[in-house]
Formats: sequence, structure tokens, C-alpha cells
Amino acid sequence: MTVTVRPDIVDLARRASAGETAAADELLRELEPLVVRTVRLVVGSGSWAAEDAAQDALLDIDRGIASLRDPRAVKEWALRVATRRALKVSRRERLLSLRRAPGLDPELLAESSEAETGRSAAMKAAFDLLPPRLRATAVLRLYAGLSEDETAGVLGCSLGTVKSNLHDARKRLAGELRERGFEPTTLPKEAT
Amino acid sequence: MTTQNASAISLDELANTLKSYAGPAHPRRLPVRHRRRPWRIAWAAAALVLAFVGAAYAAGFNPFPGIAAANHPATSTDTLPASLTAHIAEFSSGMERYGHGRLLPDTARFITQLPSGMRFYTIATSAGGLCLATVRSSGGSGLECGGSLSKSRPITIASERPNRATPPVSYGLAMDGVTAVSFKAHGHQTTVPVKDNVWAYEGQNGALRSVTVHWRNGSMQTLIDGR
Repeated sequence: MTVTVRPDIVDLARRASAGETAAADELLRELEPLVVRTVRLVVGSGSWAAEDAAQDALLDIDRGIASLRDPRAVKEWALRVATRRALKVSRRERLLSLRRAPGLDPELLAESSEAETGRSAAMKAAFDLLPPRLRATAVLRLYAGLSEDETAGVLGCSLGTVKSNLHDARKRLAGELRERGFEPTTLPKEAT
Repeated sequence: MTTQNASAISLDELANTLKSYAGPAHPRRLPVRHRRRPWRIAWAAAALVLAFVGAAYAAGFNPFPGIAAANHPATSTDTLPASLTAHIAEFSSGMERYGHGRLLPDTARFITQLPSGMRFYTIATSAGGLCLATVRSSGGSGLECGGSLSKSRPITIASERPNRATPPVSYGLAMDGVTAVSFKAHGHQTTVPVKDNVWAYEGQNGALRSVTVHWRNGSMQTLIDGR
């Protein structure tokens, strides 16, 4: 369900942080899908701002590899850098969207929501309406596959905040779905 | 799936939505931006998009369509200073890594020089992009890259401040037909002329807002309303 990175990424990170250029290139290639998709989900798919932010996040990681202190936590570190960039951009975009129409690009929308109608489209639209912090929590937990502890570490918040953010996100999504005429389907947590 | 508690969406459905919503593994192609912000106060926004399809050039392929000041045979004035060449080599590897091609220094064309001594060069990229390179009289250099200019994006916007002793300068390329660029800076409405396809503004800190392009035929085009 969640994304994985290859097992030897820690060794790559160790060599990259020691200044080995080839290892840094390989590490970036390995992290790129995770970073790009995480940023895109947090900022909101369908906007050039998300693509721009993803690119900036990769550059942030490229610049920061040399200062990576704990290669064993390279995935969490990369997600922290990416999430920080994504939250900054998504907050700016939310403020701007109060003054103008949201910067969604029809070309990107057509690409990202091809053939999607009904419930799936409603879920995506509802997700984009969540506050950035809730989106980030959901993405780190359910897409990037971090534990609640790791998510708290990446977001710099408490474990309780992660739990309440995720619950709040699911609750708001259910409400949005209902407003759009769809009944939320739920399962007990232990059954998922 | 059962409908047990409709107060919150299931983790499964949310996870599946995120998975299907995540998109491709690489950023969709955007203009590459490179900002010099040694004091963390320079800001930059590249405003460059798709190719300007249009005039055929009698002299053959022109890597700088719509930029007359750059459309000339290479001369000794087009030779890039060593400081910029080193900067290009470093920047080029980063661009290639992200699939934006590399800079082609041989295509460099000097376009103009400001009274302050700041010199401007255009440089093409192997991916059909366009870069504006700057060299200050002190030797510092900057690079801003993206796609070609077009009617919908007729100018580029960049800003830099190499040190605290120097006022920030905002500048960019302007395609043929653009005579001036106006904007709000620090609360004041300002208009600067375009000379040799370059506009530049020195002396104020902060972002430019409500950027408007003035065309030769008298029409105006607002690019970044309210920002």
C-alpha cells in the first residue's frame, strides 16, 4: 500500500553525505519518486505550484545531503525537507487563493484526473480542501508509510497531534463526501 | 467494505485515494529557476513558458526567438567572463540531473549593460530553453533559466542582491514589442523602460506586485495581478 525505498539506501546516504558524488546522484534518483509525490499530494495535485515545489524540494535535498547527520534516517530526513517545502508553498497558495481563483492548470488537471468521476473525484477534491497540516499528516502516514512516531518527528509535533490530525482529516473528508452526495464508507481501524 | 461509522472516512479509502492521486514519479516539466540569494533576501520568480512559434529567420536557426538584441553573429563581446563560465558548469550539471538539458555557452550573446556595469547575456540550453546570465562589475554572476518567451509570458522576472551594501536589482528579459514594464514596489507604482530586450530596476527591497507589460501598440498586459 505505501511506498518503499530500497534497503541499501542507508549505505547510499552514508556515502553521499561523505561527499561521494555518484552516491549522491543515485540517492536522489531513489528518493525522487517519494519526494515528488509527497510534495504533490501535500500542495495539491493539478497545480504548477506543486510541481514547482517538488522541484525545489529536490534541490533542497541535493544541497542538504552533505549535512545529513544520521544516514539511517535518510528517508525521514528527505520527507522532512520535502514536507517543509510543501507546507510553505501550500500555505502561500491558500492565502493567494483567497484573493484569486486557485491556480489549477487545466492541462495538469486533465492529466491527473483522467477518467475520474464520481466518488473518486469527490474524494480528491475534498482532500484538496483540507488544511495543509492535515494533508501532510495523512500523506506521511498513509502514503509515505511512516509510523505515527516518525510522522510526529517529521512534522515536529506530538504523537497526539498526529493522531488527532489524522482523525480530523478523515472526519472532514466524510463530511465533504456527504455534502457531495456520497455516503462515506468506513471500516474499523483494526480491520484495515 | 461495510458502512459502520460514517463520521470518518476509512483509512483504506484515504490511502487508496492518495495512491491514485500521487501522479508521476518526476516533477512535470516547469521552467527551471535558479536564484542567487547569498543574504537570503533575494527573491526570484522565473516567468518563462512555451516556445514562441512564429517568424522564420533568414539566417537559419535562432535560439533566441523574439529577442532581437540577442540575434546577431557571435563577436568578441559575447565571450563570457571566467566567473560566469564556472557558474554555468556548476549549474548545468544540476539542470541535466532534472532533465532540463544543459547550458550551451557557445550560444551566449551579450545583449546589454546597465549604467551600474551589470552585463546581460542570453544563453540557450540543449532542451530548447533560454537562460539570462548576469555579470556584475564586481565579478558576481547570476543565472535564470526557463522556456522561451511568448505572448502570454513576454517577460522574465528575477531579483538579486549580492551583498548588504548593494541595493537589490530586479530585472528580466522582455520580448520584442515590449516597451516598458510597470509594477508596484514598496508601495509605489513604478515604470521602467525596456532597452535591448532587458528591463531593470534598482533601489527597492521587496517583491514586485501587479506587474504590467506595455506593448509598442499601446496595449497593456497584467501578468501577476495582486502578487
